Amino acid sequence: MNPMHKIRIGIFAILFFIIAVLGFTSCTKTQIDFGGQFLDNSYTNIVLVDTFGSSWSTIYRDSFPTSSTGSLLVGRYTDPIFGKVSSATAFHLAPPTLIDVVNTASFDSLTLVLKCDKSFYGDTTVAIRYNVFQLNQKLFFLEGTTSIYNNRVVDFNPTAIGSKAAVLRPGDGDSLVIRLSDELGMDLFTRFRNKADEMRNEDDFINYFRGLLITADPATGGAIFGFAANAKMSLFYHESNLFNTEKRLDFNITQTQFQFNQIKADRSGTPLDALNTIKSELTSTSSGGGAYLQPATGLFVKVRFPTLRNLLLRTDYQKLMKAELVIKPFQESYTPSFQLPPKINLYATDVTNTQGSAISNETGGLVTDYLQRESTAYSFDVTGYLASQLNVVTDNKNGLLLNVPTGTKAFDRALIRDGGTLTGKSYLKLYYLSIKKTTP
Amino acid sequence: MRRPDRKYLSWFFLTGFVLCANFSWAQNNTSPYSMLGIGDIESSYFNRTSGMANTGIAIRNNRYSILNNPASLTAMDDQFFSFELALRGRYINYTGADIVPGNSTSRDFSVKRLSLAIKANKWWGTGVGFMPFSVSNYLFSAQKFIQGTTESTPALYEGTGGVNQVYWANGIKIGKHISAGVSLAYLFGSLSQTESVASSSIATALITTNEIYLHSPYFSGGAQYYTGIGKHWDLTIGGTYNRKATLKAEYSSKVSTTATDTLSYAITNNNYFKLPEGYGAGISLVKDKKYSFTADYRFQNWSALQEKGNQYALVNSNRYSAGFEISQKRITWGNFLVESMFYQAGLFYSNSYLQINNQQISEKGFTAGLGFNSKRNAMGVAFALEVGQRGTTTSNLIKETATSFSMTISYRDFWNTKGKKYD
Repeated sequence: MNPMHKIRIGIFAILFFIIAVLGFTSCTKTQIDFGGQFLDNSYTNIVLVDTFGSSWSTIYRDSFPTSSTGSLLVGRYTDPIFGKVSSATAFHLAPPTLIDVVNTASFDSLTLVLKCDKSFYGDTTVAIRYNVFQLNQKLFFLEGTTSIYNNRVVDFNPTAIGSKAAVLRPGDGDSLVIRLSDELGMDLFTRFRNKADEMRNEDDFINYFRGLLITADPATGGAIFGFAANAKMSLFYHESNLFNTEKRLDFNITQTQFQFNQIKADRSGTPLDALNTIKSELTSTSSGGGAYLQPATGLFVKVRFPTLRNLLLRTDYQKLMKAELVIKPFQESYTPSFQLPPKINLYATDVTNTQGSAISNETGGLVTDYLQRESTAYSFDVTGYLASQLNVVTDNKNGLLLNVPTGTKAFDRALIRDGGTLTGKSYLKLYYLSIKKTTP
Repeated sequence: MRRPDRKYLSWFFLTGFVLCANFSWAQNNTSPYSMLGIGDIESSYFNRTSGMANTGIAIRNNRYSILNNPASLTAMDDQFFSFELALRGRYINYTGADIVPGNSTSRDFSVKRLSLAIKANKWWGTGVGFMPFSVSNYLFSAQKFIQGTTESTPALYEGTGGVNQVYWANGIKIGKHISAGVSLAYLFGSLSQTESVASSSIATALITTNEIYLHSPYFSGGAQYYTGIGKHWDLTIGGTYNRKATLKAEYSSKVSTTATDTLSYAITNNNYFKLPEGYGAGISLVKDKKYSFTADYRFQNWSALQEKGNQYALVNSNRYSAGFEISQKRITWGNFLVESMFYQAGLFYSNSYLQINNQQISEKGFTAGLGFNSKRNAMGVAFALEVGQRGTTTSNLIKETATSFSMTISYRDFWNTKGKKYD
């Protein structure tokens, strides 16, 4: 064999050995937690500052969309902190598909059936009287809008066509069944049996029967309940024959875009009474150190950090590493009946107080502790938002608007303690990077 | 004999350099003690003496370059050059209070030495090479305190790097019984420590890399006296000495949040790291050119530097080792006595330059070696197994039990004599 070939074979053999050994060689480094005592890791430091001031205020909106929510909110309650709150609901109904009804058929009853969607707010142990009225006008969108707002006033016949006092157990999915006027029922039955023009399609029917308004009697109150949008008005009749066959005609809500909740709040006797369409912002300093959050009644909270840029004046400041906003409600402000929102979202806002885009990590989960109430708090990572606000060199009027997540229908509310150094107040935790100054 | 074949010589060099480039720094053996001082100072020479516990101050060999004492370069066969490549695989098992089950071993394989030695003439042997001087490699987690609070956040600390040396060693024969040598080395490398904080305490990861770039010339020398004792015995006595060295140390720190987002980079300090003077002594007795008995002692005067830190100090290091070798030889054409195989064994005990919690980190172990020199070509290979223990579990320290397997591949041939090839 050629000597050069032998050498090559030898080299290949060695390479094979190396590759084989490499196969047994670890690619990861073993971690052995020894040596911390010799460590000098002071070149960089993470510094926590939680004394930066924040400015809190309550933002009031007198109107907000309440249509197409999929929930019929009816009831009223008195909140010792937020005032009296009520909700009524109005909607159109559609006629059932025409069928032949024999001449021997007889009208039995007309009822309104509302099924609890398990949402409620307030004390559910108190009976509430529900009144049903017939609308005198069709529901419609105002020009330029695609919603009906909470403050819409509707014309209705003040003579109730049905009324019932009831205690509901929403958790069990109770239904509220209200017997309606027999006179109305007979009229509807006759027109249906005769296949009258107004029973032939939805529009003609609404021109005849404008819809219903359901309110809670002002003399009663305890809670507001949410009912599912599959509410219906049922007409019962029977055919007089050997078996007296019972039959039912259902008038359902089909134009869900026009179903809306008329939500009203009476703030008399509370600091919020000062809010109106002209004065729509109330600082926490003029409302007992608190900011009021109840989006369902138009109350939002804004928080600003006017001294944030003082962070840049710190000689050792290098970079904002983390910012955490801890929001604390007044400890005595919430009860099992008047609960805190389970989640709050943060949105960017400015001097106009309009709701901007949601900030990342906007959702602050709630830790509720009814026994150790000082631990109850919402916590938010606002690092990205505040890092951007540090770059705003002009007089910064921006802030964060607190709202509940989109789609929340409950009346959950929070009286938030404003910022400060006292225990129990909301505060901002800023973690920043500090780098040791050295001279070679 | 043939002249060196340029093609396969190229193969050999190419292979060596590729391996060096790829694996020299593929250090995965965690060494918790290597975060102190200049790292773990390499006590092995990764050569033929590895099988005798690196006992080689008084060893002379005609085929392999023994850099334990540069004076031994004069023992190489005249007009030959020797190219050597050494590799080592190592498995370490760790015990101690800080060791968690399932994370108590590490493995590593890397190229450790590349050298070329030439017997330039009858009285001068010279060689150049590259090998590690020290290695730093560790990984541990510790708490980083958050200023303004009693809180802390976990951080991961990873150390990498080491100091390498390139050397030019020379041995000169002075008369029939004495050789002297000097090694002119240049130490260079960097020790890097990276702190990574990526916990919920901060939204952005924080990576701080502190690096010390070290470099300095490094001089050492040695001498050997060798003589025959009667008909059967050969005696060699050797000594080595290295001067103090002051390594220039440039400290830099880089702070970043990602690999591309650098927040800060600064040269934070220009300083020095000192290496102490040291010396060694060795003796070897060879019977009938076959049985070798050898012993070494090495010492480094670290205490004189008065370097100390929190719970640790640099103290004098010393190393005792002894080795035994059986060399099988055969007579070739021309009545030359040529070694075909050798068997080795060795023992060592050393106290390192680290004293932690008043415990000097010591190491002890044994070695075994086996070598082959090809009958048909110019290749030789030496294998060495080393099993040793370093450290202790007392005083909350770590004990390492290491098993190492090294291989030194040599290729030798005539270098360009341009004339007569035999005396």
